[in-house]
Amino acid sequence: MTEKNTQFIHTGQELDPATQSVTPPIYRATTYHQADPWNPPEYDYARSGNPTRHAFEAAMATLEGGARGLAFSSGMAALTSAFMLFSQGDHLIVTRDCQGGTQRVLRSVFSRFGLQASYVDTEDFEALEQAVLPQTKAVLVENFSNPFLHVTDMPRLAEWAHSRNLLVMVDNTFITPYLQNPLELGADLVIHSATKMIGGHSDITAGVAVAKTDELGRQLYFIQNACGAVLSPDDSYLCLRGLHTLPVRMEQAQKSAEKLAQALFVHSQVQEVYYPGLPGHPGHDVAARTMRGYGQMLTVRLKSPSLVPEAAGRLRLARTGAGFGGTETIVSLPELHCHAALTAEERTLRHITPDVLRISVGLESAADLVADFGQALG
Amino acid sequence: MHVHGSPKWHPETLAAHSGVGQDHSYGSVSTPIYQTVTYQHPGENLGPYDYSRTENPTRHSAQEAINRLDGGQGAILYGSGMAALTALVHTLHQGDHVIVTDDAYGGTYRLLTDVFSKFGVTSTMVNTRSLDAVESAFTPATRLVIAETPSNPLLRVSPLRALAEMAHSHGAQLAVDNTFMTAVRQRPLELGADFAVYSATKYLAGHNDVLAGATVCRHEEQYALLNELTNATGSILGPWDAWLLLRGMKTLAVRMDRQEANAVQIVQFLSRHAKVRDVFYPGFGSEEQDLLQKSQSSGTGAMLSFVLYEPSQYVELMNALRLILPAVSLGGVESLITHPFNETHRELPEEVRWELGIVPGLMRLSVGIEHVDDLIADLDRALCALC
Repeated sequence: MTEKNTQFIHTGQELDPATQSVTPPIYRATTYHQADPWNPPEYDYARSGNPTRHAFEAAMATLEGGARGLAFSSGMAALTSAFMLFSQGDHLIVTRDCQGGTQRVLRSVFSRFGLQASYVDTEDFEALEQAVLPQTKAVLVENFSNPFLHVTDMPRLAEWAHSRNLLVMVDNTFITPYLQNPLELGADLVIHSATKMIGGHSDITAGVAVAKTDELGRQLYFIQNACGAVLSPDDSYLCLRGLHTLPVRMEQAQKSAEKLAQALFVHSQVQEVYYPGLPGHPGHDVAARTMRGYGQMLTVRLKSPSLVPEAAGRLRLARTGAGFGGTETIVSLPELHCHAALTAEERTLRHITPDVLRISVGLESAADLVADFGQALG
Repeated sequence: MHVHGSPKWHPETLAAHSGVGQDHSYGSVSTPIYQTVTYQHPGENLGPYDYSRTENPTRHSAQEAINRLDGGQGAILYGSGMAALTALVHTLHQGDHVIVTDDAYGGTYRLLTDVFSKFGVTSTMVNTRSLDAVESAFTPATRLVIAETPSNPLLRVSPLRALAEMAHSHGAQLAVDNTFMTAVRQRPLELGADFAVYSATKYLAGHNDVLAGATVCRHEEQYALLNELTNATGSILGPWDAWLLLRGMKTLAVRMDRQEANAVQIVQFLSRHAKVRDVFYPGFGSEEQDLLQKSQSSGTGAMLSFVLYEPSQYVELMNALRLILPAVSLGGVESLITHPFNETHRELPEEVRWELGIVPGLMRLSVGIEHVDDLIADLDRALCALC
């Protein structure tokens, strides 16, 4: 068994069988010559399977410790495909503090087809217990949650959910396979927006899911092939390329995130800092016990909403916009960017108010970042 | 697209100018590839782009080109043709009913019967050439008719104007899978359809190297809804593929002209060949179908199918071909042949395939842009080699 960070580079899928090239070629073909159509080759049509996509999917399966990985055209396409596993009349329990897109697709698309969802704090086991209905089929945990970085105790959650016969799905985008492997802690399906830390360069829109078992992998593959929201070969290659540097990027970015969190914590204009690496964070102990780090995402609440546009306008290094997980630090304003998918009412209920800033820490020097935020906040 | 000023440009002209003149930074004639996820927004003002799942300048260019070509109110590009169809079905609700052409692509059948049936969407496959059959398939819950014409793989022609009228009189919408014809041959929105749906993998991209889907909407409200749901479900086309699609579209008209001319000659050749029992090509061998095709299309395309006298010989035929590749998919510059019974239409139950005429020995040929004499010689040699 190799060390975790070695697996990110030597995924076992990188050698091209035809040429021994150390990176997989980008196969653009949509179709494959069938010399013997009655024994079709491994790949016959690009929606059904593509060698470049497969290299990324297999690497993800190895890294997450699952039976099968499946890559999609976006993180939302991965989540949508997972929701397509269910049926009319089913019910899901979803982390209340989830990314906006999850709540939007359940509200605007799946409610049309009779798939219902309840939103609860998945770190609160009493709340979870109360949310279970006879028709509940699964729990979708977002860990860390978005934007307030709640921490769910994954082994305990998996044990509880399985005792209630619920499938455990985890949106592991914030944590990445480098810091936690939910499948090894009992989850059944792990989902990523690979647009973020996996791609890692703010240049690919991609999603990926890894199933623990062959059977669940087969079911999700059926949806991937039938509904066709697959990842393109170029973007698959770029995702695989991103995986190689995920450990070094995450190590650097989370070190800086911790320093920035500490600096903001004592800043006079900052009301609250949400970062699991701070000892006072309610999920700190669970994160310390179940994860290999605290990640590079943090959220702050400023003392006044009027400080937000002022600070955003004064930032020199950090970029303001949607998205996260790139090499550059990105600040998102929840109403305009990361949680724009929520209705105003949904945001208010979730305390996502205009005094909140979400920060994705990149690879700049920590000292430069601390200085940039310091001067921007005044 | 910069060719403003006249709504009367020919489709060939619009296709050649796909994405041309879209670069506002440098005036580059070819659309730049924006391989980016996000866009910088200082302060609180969002620009035209904020997140590439929602909108990307390269994809936007390709969407605009397809929309212009089909004369729609908005087009959306997807990661595959099946993703386009999935998104369209996502606009329905549980309890809704769909009518679909009986010899449609097998994946369409699978999507409705194996995926959306779980979500309470019911569907009926009917012979959409028969208006009586379609009329009797409507239920009060019917919201969508999906017609594929010419159909796959038997190239049967369904009356689009009449289907549009009938769908609308029942409060339903008509979506036309226009993959085989494309807007340079058939313009469903002008015939009354509400959506033109494409596997853009095929003729639009044209080189067997891009997996893509497209939906063009006739109405702004439907475009807005579809766009909203697609942004939510995220089954979008990446920027590289959008760019290759644009690049392919520039040669759509010349490719289709050559492919169609080749196909017409091959139909003549096959229809006289001793080993061939039947040839299927839009309008071929039926005055009624021919008139119908001419009334709604400006050509007959480059897909054809034929049946061997001796069904079991399809194995030998495929092995004997030297130029035409046995492979699924269609619409590319190289000619491809498939055996739909156990390839493209294997998703249909066997008895349904037999009933429709998708039988062993039925070969589907996607005619490419090679020299037609070489294609005919390849087919002749392979057919004559059958004992």
